[in-house]
Amino acid sequence: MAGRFFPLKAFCPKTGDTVEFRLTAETGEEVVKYGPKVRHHELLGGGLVDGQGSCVQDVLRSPSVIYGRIRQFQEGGSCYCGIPSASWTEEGSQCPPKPGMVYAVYINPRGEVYLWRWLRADKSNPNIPEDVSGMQVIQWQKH
Amino acid sequence: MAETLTDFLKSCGGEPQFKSEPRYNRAGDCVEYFFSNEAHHADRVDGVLTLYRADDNHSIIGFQVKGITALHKLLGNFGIAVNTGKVTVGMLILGAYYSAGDSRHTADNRRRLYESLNERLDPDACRQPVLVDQN
Repeated sequence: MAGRFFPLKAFCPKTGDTVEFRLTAETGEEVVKYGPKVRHHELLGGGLVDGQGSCVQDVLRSPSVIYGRIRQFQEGGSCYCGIPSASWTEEGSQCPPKPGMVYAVYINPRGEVYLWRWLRADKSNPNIPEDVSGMQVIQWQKH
Repeated sequence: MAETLTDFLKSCGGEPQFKSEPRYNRAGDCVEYFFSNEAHHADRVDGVLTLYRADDNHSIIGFQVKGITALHKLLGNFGIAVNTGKVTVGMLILGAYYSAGDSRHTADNRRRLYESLNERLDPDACRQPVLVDQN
């Protein structure tokens, strides 16, 4: 499986166009074989159209803010945050986005998507996370 | 025709499953351990530890420890054998507690959050080895 990946389209903060990140087969295997299952639903979505209702793809394509320098021990990487069109239960039922929360997708310096999850939103701005102390550098923000 | 994400994930292992065991995420240089297969959100404790809480009742259902390469080095410097590429869950959490800064919590609150995680983990879970394969 080495080297296999699936390209995920994302908003490019530098050009305003599209950039491609990679979901490696190793990360895909972790998600499928170990879960939790909600991660699979949040990645894949559940509509008839591939990617429809996918929290990960929604936020990559239409973020509200992009942070850089997200890791304490390794420079680089970015975090796309935003409000996706849906959230998911562990059984795979589609629900509205979680109130008071924002979705975050993490990308390492090699352009590999490696983690995605819900975070509590800032009380004064529901489009950004409450605690951004680990990712201070804003690369881009929707106005 | 281009491969769809559905096809790609099927080729990665078929239908989604849940296994409760500590896993090293090489792309993210972090370890995650989920005790329960529930919808959840992240609750950042400090620069190293993040707790996963169930959406329903906010109970701790898992955690993430970041910066495993640096933590491995730190543990090695204290003579804790990591030559085999294995380290226990308890040791990782202890290492996280002593190495992390960058917390919005007071020192007391931060300690309480680590204690809450410790209470949630039984001794067997703390002794679980995590295979950290960085190659």
